[in-house]
Order: sequence, then structure tokens, then C-alpha cells
Amino acid sequence: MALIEVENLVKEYKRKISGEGIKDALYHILHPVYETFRAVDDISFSIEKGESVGYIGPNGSGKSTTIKMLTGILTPTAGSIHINGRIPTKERIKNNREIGVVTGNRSTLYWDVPIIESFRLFQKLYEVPDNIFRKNLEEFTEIMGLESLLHVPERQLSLGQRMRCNIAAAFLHNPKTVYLDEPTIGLDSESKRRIRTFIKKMNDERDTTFIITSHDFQDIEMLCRRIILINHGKVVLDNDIEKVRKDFDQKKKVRFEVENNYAMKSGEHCLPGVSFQYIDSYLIEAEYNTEEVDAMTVVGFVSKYCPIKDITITGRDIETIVQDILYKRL
Amino acid sequence: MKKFYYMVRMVFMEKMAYMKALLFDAAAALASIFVYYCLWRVVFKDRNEMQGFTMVEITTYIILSRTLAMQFSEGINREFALWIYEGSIGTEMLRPVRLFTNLFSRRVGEFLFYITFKAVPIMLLAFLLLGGAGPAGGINLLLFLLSVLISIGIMFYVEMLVGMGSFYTLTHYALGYTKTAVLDLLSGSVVPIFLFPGFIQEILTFLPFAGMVSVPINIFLGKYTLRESLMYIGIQCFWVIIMYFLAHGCFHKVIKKVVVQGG
Ligand SMILES: Nc1ncnc2c1ncn2[C@@H]1O[C@H](COP(=O)(O)OP(=O)(O)O)[C@@H](O)[C@H]1O
Ligand SMILES: [Mg+2]
Repeated sequence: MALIEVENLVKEYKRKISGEGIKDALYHILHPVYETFRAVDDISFSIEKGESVGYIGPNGSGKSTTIKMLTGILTPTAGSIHINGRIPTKERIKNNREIGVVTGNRSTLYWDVPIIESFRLFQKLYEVPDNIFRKNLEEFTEIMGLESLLHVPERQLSLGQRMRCNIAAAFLHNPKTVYLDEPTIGLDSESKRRIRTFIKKMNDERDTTFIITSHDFQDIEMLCRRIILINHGKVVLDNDIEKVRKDFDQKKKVRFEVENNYAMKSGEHCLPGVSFQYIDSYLIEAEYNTEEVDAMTVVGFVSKYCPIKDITITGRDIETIVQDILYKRL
Repeated sequence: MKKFYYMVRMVFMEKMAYMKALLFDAAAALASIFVYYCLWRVVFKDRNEMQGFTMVEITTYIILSRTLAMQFSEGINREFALWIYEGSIGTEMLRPVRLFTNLFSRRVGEFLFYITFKAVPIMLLAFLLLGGAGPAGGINLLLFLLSVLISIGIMFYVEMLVGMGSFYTLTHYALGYTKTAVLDLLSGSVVPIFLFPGFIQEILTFLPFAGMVSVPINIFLGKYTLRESLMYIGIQCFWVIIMYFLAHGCFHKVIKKVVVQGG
């Protein structure tokens, strides 16, 4: 059995319809009307130990709802979840010992006390042996630059500093799995960089499984080997990130910096599967279909006409690919 | 147990961050003690006793009841309701301890803070300023302390139930005010229970609220025989058990329905 098994998961929220205007509102107090809304609609996946999964999708697609069910704080309407063989809502406390959770807009630390005191409390609550706690604290402090933050109460820290502390806290007890729901939302680039480095290291060195949701595709590209894309509560795509790139990114661009493109431009030379664009007299852009030609052919073709000074090849990034999948531009 | 200690310690540290607010709380409590004292002076202007209480005893009653009642406007119901309201209950549910234990540790931390920084200093100061009768005897003092301790259990469960009520109202303060008012009235902290008409007195002494103010003070002043004292403490224990089941029962229903807001 995989570490995380999700089968036909459904979550319906009941929403009270309040109507418009005061008269309606009064009426609805006596006659409440509810509508159900399916935030998660029949989702299945399984995740093995050590995987790094990007759980992505547009706003309101049901990412946070899924994470809340995985961590056992929301009860599914239907379907099943097994985390390490346990049903998280049934054995929440046992499950809690083995996981870490980070939510971008919420802190697990204690607001009015120095960060280190929160960490120490967590050490006791998770029963982390002293030597492991010390080792982790030292390592995390180093990677995320926490030295100067540890003795300051959380309320005096900036958002980025707070989030770094929260992420460190989530890993202090060597959890098997860590769930990160938009951990980088609204952060400065320094904090983002440190956080990414840290998560990557935990995954590489300690085999910590993690699921991350983020709107920053750099997070996803840097950290995840697999993406699960959801929309309207349904899985749209679940695959290896490299495979997604290959499957969906058949168009690539090569940019040539040349001495002079006159010879090629005036000759109107063409190559099947490639379209050339002449930006100015020193630049040529070639967009080609990876299924028809490979990069070497294109380069060889251009070099026949003009001396090449520099080449850059760019694929579309995951963000564009995902947008295209979502809005059916493919 | 060790975990519990560290959680209580954390609450204590959190509270220490707001020591300044303490001065205002203490000033307000002393003022209210003084107002009640003046009112009772008027009552005792042309009599020496009332229902077996002398002015000195009433002074003790005022000091102790006002100080004990300070807890009514606090308690974990506010915090618990706020957790539900703001959705931070999700965070609390993710801690590796049961939510009930978590909340109880907060209540105990709050109580210890209240005792050390509010109750003891305010009582001492008020006794120094206004006089008032001391405990009727050593055993009375012990039973008084025991009764106050047990009342924390009752208060905790009342607060839990009030906090859970906010799950249905989705406001975090309305029920809190109601709680304060109801406890003030029914515990005998505003009007001593012996001033109510006979049959209401009977009812009130058997409800769980008398145990929070009236019972411990009457024990303190030696108004109950030892047998009566033990009986009332027995009633308090009985209520703790009843409330325990009530609160836990509701809790399991509520927690299943909890919708963690936001995110
Ligand atoms: N407590 C709630 N009550 C009713 N509807 C909710 C609640 N929480 C979320 N929703 C709805 O469920 C959908 C999914 O929300 P969410 O899982 O937070 O999305 P995401 O995290 O992907 O942005 C949204 O349309 C949102 O409006
Ligand atoms: Mg979300």
C-alpha cells in the first residue's frame, strides 16, 4: 500500500443562501435554504514514500479542501483516505505525529512568545529526543537563516521570517509527510529561495514526502517531480513533471545571435516543421516542432547560411503548459 | 503529564506578554469591590446582621465573590469560539494532543495566572483596606480551596459548551456575554444566594453555578457544618461528572461537523 491512498474523494460544502436585501435575509432566518457545493469531486490518487508532488489548480479548485481532508481536519463527504494505512479523521492524533502541515496564511507558532519557546514545546509534544532536536534545530537554523529570529516573539517578525519559522517547525519532528498549502504566498524572494532550498534538501536527504500547493510555478518546477492538476474539484492531469513537459511541450524556440542574417533572410530558405522569424539583422528566432525535427538539424540548417555567435533554446514553462491544458488551447 | 506541564507553561508565558493589561483588570476589580462595599454599608447602617451575616462577614463575601467572579468574563470559551470563527481550529486539531487536553491546559494555565497575578494580590489588598473576616478555621480554608479547584472543572465544561454554541451561531462574542451574565447571577456573585426567595435558593444551591462562588465562600466563613460542606462539595463533583459527559458528547458531534473556515 502506498503512503497516501485517496479513492473517489468527495467533499460537499453546505452553503446557506441568504438572499438579497433585509426582507429576504429575515425570511431566510426562519426558512433556511441550503445549497450544496462540490468542492472536491471524485478525486483519486496515490503517493509513495519520498515523492514530491505539486498539487496545482486555479483558485477555488479544491486544493485546500483536499489538503484539509488529507490531514484529517475535514471529514470527507464520500470516498476514502488512507495515510500510512490509517484513516486520518479516525486516528487524527496518531496521524498528526507523523505529519507536518504548513499553511501560508496561518501560523502554528505561539504569537506572543519567542520562536524558540514554540519549538521547545513542539519538541515535548512530539516527543523528539534531545539530540535529534538539537541537530535539526542547528541544521534548519543554518539553511533558513533563523539565528536572529529564534529569540524574538512571532508577532515581531515579518511574514517571510514567520513562514521560515513555521516551515522549520513543521519538519522538527522528522515527519514522514509534510503538507504545504501555499507556503510562499506573498513572500519576498529571499525567503522563497531559502524555503525552496530547505524543502528540496529535506526531500533529497531525508526522503520526506511532501505535497505542495502554490501559485508560483517556480516552486513547482524546482521542487516537484510530479504534478497533480485539478480544476473544479476534478483531477485534470496527474503525471511526472518531465513527462508533462515532453507530452505537451512539442513546440520549442531557438534564438540565434548571428553576424548577419541577410543571406538567410533574402534567400527565403525554409525547413519543414520550422518557422523562422527575423527579429532584426542579428537575430533569428526559429520555432520548431520537436516531433518533426530536432534542435541539431535546425542549428545545422542556420549555420549553413550565417555564422552563429550564440544560441538559446527555450521550451515553454510548466506554467504556460498548465494554462494551455486548463483552457484547452492545445 | 510532562506534555501537559509544558502546555500550561506556554499559556503562562503568553499571558505574561500582557502584564500591563493586568493593572487595569486589578484596578477595575478593586473598584467594583469598593462599590459593593459601599452599597452593603448602607444596608447595614441600622442593623448588625442580616440572615446571620455580619458586616465583617459580608465584606469577606464581597471580596471573595468579586475576585472569584473575575473569571466569568474570561475562560476558554472566547478563545475556543474564536478558533471556530477564524478557522484556526484547524491548526489546533493538527497538534499531536487531543483538542480537549489542549483546551484544558489553556484553562489551567489561565487559572494559575489568575491566582498568582490577580486573585491573591487583589484579595490581600482588599482585605488590608476593608478588613473582613478570615477563614472560620483551618479545615474551612482547605475545603474552600478544594471547592474553588473543583469549580474550575465545572467552569471549564460550561465554557466548552458555550464555545461550541458559537459553532452554531458563528459569532464569537454574543454567547460569551450571556455566559458572564448568567454565571454572575446564578453563582451568587452579584446577589448572595441567601437573599433570594426560599425555593429559588433551594434550586440555586443544587445547580452547578453555586459551586463557583457561593459554596466556597460559605465554607470559608463557616456557614456550613462540616457535613454540609462535604455534601456541597459532593454536589460539585457530581456536576463535574455530568458536565464532562455533556461536553464530550456535544464535542464529538460538533467536531464532525466542523468546517474549517478559510484557506
Ligand atoms: N467553508 C466553506 N463553505 C462553503 N464553501 C467553501 C468553504 N471553503 C471553501 N469553499 C468553496 O470550495 C471551493 C474550493 O475551495 P478551496 O479548497 O479553498 O480552493 P483552493 O484552495 O483550490 O483555492 C471554493 O469554490 C470555495 O468557495
Ligand atoms: Mg487554497
